[in-house]
Amino acid sequence: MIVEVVSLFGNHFISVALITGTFSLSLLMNTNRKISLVAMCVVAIVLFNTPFLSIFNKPTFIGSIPVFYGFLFGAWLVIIGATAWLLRQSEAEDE
Amino acid sequence: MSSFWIICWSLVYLLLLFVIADRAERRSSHKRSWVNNPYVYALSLAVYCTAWTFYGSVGRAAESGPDFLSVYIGPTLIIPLWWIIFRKIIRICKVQRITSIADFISARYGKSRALGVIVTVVCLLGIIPYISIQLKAITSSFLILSGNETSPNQSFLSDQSFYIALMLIVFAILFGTRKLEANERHEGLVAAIAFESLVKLFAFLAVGVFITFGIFNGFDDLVTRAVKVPELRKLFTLPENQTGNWFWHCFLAAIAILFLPRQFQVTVVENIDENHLKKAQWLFPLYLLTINVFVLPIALSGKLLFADEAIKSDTYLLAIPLHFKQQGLAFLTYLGGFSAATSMIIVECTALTVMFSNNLLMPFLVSRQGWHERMGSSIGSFVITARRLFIAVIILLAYAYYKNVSDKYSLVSVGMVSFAAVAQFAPAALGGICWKRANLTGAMSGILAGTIVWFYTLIIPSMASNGLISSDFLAHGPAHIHWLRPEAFLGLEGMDSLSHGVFWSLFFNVSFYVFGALNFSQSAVEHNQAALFVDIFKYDTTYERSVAWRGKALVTDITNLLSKFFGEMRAQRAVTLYIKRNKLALSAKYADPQLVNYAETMLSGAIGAASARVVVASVAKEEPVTVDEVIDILKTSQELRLVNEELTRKSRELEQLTGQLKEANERLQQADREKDDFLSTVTHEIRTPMTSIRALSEIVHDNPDMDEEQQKHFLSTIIKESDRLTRLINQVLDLERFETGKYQLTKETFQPETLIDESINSIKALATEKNIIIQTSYVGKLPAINGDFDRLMQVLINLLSNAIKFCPAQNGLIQMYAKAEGNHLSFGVKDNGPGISAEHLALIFDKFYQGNAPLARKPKGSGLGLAISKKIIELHQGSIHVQSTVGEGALFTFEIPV
Repeated sequence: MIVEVVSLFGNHFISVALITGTFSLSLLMNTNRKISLVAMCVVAIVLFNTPFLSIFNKPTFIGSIPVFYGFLFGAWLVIIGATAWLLRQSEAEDE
Repeated sequence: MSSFWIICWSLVYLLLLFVIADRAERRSSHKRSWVNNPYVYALSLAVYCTAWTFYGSVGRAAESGPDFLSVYIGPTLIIPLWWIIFRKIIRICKVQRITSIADFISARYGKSRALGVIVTVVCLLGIIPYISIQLKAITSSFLILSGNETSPNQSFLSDQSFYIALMLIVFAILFGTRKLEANERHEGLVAAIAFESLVKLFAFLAVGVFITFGIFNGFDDLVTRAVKVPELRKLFTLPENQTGNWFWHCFLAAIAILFLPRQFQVTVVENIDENHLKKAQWLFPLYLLTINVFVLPIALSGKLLFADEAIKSDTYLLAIPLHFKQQGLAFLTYLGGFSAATSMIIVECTALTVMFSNNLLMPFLVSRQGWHERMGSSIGSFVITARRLFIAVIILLAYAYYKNVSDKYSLVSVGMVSFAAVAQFAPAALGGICWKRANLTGAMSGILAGTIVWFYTLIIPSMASNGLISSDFLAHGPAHIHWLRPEAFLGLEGMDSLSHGVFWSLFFNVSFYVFGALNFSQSAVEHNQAALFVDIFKYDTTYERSVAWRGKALVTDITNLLSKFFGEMRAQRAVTLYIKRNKLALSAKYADPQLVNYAETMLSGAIGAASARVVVASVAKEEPVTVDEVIDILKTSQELRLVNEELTRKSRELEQLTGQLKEANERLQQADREKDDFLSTVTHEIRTPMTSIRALSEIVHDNPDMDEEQQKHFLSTIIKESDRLTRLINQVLDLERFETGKYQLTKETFQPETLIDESINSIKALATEKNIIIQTSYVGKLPAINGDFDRLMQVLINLLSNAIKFCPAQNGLIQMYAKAEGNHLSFGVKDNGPGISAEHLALIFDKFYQGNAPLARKPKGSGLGLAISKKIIELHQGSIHVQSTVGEGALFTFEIPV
């Protein structure tokens, strides 16, 4: 197994994370909260599973952060943040 | 550290928890609850992090890399949906007073006793191993900290873990079974576990920081060193073929967290306000994330430090601080792990006892003939005692399991098997809240099938590796039927044992569930409950009316029944209150169906839905209800809700209308008053000149020999007064025409300069008489105006003559200007008279305003001039204003559009 240490920029991990991040956050622009929540859930399931996960499942490091852990924690934080953001809008509405 | 001191401090810590719980309970009875906020709620959800998280994650990370995270990322995958799923479950449980997952499932499927029993038994089967690993964690951390080692063949009397188990029994009893509640909420318990969550998080982070930054030089250093060790490189990624298993682990955690008895207890039963979910829903995953940040660094450093020693990776968290002689930190870690384990045990035991008493004990008791008589009024204390015994039984069973089985496995693998057991409730519970057709047959066969497969694929292999079953069974299947191998069921190979078991158990579970729902029918009660569960937001306000029940029950019987469980006073009060609130007949002999249902709901809280039903049936003569009738009742209750909404809307509209009417009435009255004022002022104004005309003409008439000079003077006064009278009458008529809108402007186009010049000309004589200078200025090039020349001149003359009136006798100066401002033309007339005080400024354009004017301005006009001017300007779509300071003259301005 080769361990390769790459610089912060100029590798595809950052680009992939940015693209998917932007894409998923655009889901939050939906006005119907219920749909947004379900969409968030779908995004989370896609992000944390094969085949997507295997993009990051590499023994590579950005600085001293293992790419796989970096991605897991980063995406995790994004989902928590997005959920918080979705739920702080408008008070409880009954269906 | 000696074991004596560790035990002492552990007891002190438990005592502290008990004080917290006690204080919290006191505060809640004084309505100053600690627990009633989203932060404590979120912390209480962190009971999810048990000793498994605390010690086991590090072990797992050290053995197989990032896989340990699946247990925490899994729940995060579906947290966006919590708001949808849990809000519904919480609402259902509040309305129906459901207090456990077994109750929830049995209530949904027609309050079935059998289903309640099955769910309870599955929970017990699944959870006891889970509790046993908590015992294991406490014991092993205790042994490491005290530096003792156990010899394997001790009798249990000399075994520390036995005493730890006893201590936990006492503690769990003190916390979980203090009194019989109708809603099974324990605020003290929640406060204590929230505190424990803080302790375990703090302890974990403290060790993490110490190891990462104290022993090593931060993450950089650790990673750089770990990369050099070939064996550790694989810890940074999932093995190539493991990404599929990763999915199953996430999936398992995601559904287990919904239905683990302790999670159900804290999330649903202990929930005070649905809206707390909103904050907890992201705070809780954040907690999970935070507590996992240092797992990998600790695992790596453990591997680096103890490369050659035989130290179990599950114990790194304690072993590392001890290795560096950090006794204090090690004890803090021990406390953290102790918190994690005790909070799990307490909540889990509480939840399991509620299930046991509501689904096994009570239905058994109340279905026996004559239970009333034998129990009498002591049934409440009987239930409590039974629950206490049961807690002892659970923990002792867990102890036995620990001694015989789980000691041989890692914390995580035992925990995951428990997860797989509760995952069997997912189809029935989730299907139950969103699919009305789902029925008892499907739910029961699904859960049974799932559990059997779970047992076969996950428990049998563990028994085999334990020597209870021959390993031949595992390798070749029963009777050498190859495709029945427990770890490669139906020939499915290539998955890890857990994913394999989860897949097959849920596969059979869901298949049976759906098949049952599609091919069997529902009973009336089931149909009723299905509608109430799925459409809870439609029925929650009319719940008691939405339950179909027909039969006869005496009110006194119902009250007696309630008093057996809740005491005479509470029962009486509850029944009377309910009758009053719902306007039922107070003296009726037979209870209204609504009351019966209310009693049943109240009992459900204490003894579970299934037993409540049996108990109520024992005092009531029930008649069967058909599905059609259920549908009718549901329809009526929905219509009722619609009618209610319609009524509220209508009454809101009526209110609005009444408000408008009131306003209109006030306006009318105001107008009426104004008219009266106007009339009396006009008559007063007319009378003054009339009186003087009459007096003077009388004098002239009576004195024919008056000298000519005198006579002429009188007559000229009479003429002047008549003129004034005519003017007044003309003005009144003018005003009336303006106000009623009868007056039509005769518009023409002219230059404003002409208007000003002519106005000044006609008033010049008056000004010269008083030695007043009139200055005129034009700003910019003035556009032509389209308006009524005569009327606008009237306005200017009025303003000018007012100004002349108020100019001082010496040095009178009037400044006049006209300027173009955008599409407006504004005119101004400024005098240097005494000015107008602020309070009169607002009234100056009112009719007959002058009557009220004090010394400052003593006008000699009718008091209608400015009112008429205002009307004229308004007819030109313009506006008129006045600015003035006392002693500095007044400035009247008006703007009209061009």
